[in-house]
Amino acid sequence: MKKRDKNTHAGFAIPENYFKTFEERLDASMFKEKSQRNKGFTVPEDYFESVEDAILKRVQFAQVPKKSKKPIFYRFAAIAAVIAIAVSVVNYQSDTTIDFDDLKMVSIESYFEDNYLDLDDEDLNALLEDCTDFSLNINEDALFEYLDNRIEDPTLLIE
Amino acid sequence: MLDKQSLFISQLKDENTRERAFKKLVGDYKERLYWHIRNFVKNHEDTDDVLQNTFIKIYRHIDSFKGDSKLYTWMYRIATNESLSFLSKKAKQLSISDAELQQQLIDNLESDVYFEGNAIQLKLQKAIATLPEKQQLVFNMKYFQDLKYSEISEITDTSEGALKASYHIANKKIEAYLKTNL
Repeated sequence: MKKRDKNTHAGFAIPENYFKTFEERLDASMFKEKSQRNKGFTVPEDYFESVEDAILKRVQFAQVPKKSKKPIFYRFAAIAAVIAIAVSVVNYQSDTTIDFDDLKMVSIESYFEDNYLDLDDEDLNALLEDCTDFSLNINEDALFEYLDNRIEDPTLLIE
Repeated sequence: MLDKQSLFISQLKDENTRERAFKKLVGDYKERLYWHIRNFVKNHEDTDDVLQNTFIKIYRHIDSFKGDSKLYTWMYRIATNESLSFLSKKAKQLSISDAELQQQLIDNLESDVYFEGNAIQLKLQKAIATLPEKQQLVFNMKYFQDLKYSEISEITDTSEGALKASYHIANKKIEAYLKTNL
């Protein structure tokens, strides 16, 4: 009797490596079916074709430009120009030191609003409590003048 | 000799083969990552944004991928982080809590043209929204995406035991919600 091929059963044959790749293919089809069927979520028509192009375009913008092949003279000229600008900026900055008071309040506010500092409202309140010193001696006249300039209805001050 | 994944990663890291390999990566994983993100973010437009940002991040950081985990679990981790930070940012922008945002996302589903779920599916989404973040994470990955505990463990950096416990508790809570709200 002819020996049965290990990939045949009663004369039926299967493609090479069928069982080796079966799980992988089954997982893929199960995943696809399950993810799209169970939740009711849908996507616009042809979305998955178009999103690929959108991603690849964005990646091209994000790529680091390749090294320039311009003549060496231009490179030296560019370096010299950068050094000249850097020196003038450093000299300029040494005369005008920037401190905290130079920061505009709107810049500080937008820094917080844009979430550059990862603090929630509770954290900010806790910080505020730590930083607020109510024992400060405030000149009453100065306070009155400040409020007078900022409150639309001055009769409130009298009350 | 390099195995299949190592070879593919080296192609992604090599400047000469990167573009082609990345194109294949996007083609292979766009749908899987999309549905993974959609589970958290719920609406299509936001999912699209997060998906694109996820791939950009993968592209930029592929050089730092050391191969300690499988490539796709690393990508899932990035997608998960992107989704969660997107939601947290959105809640802050709207000045509402994470729980309120979850409620809002579910409320919006009813009028979403890209949600065609029936009443039960909507109820299930409402039940999921009541879970704490970690339990939602595990439930979505296990129930909808059928990921293995070992894979979820790599993605979330949590032990398999803790994940099994979370999934069990999440199931119980969802069951209780559905029983009382049907």
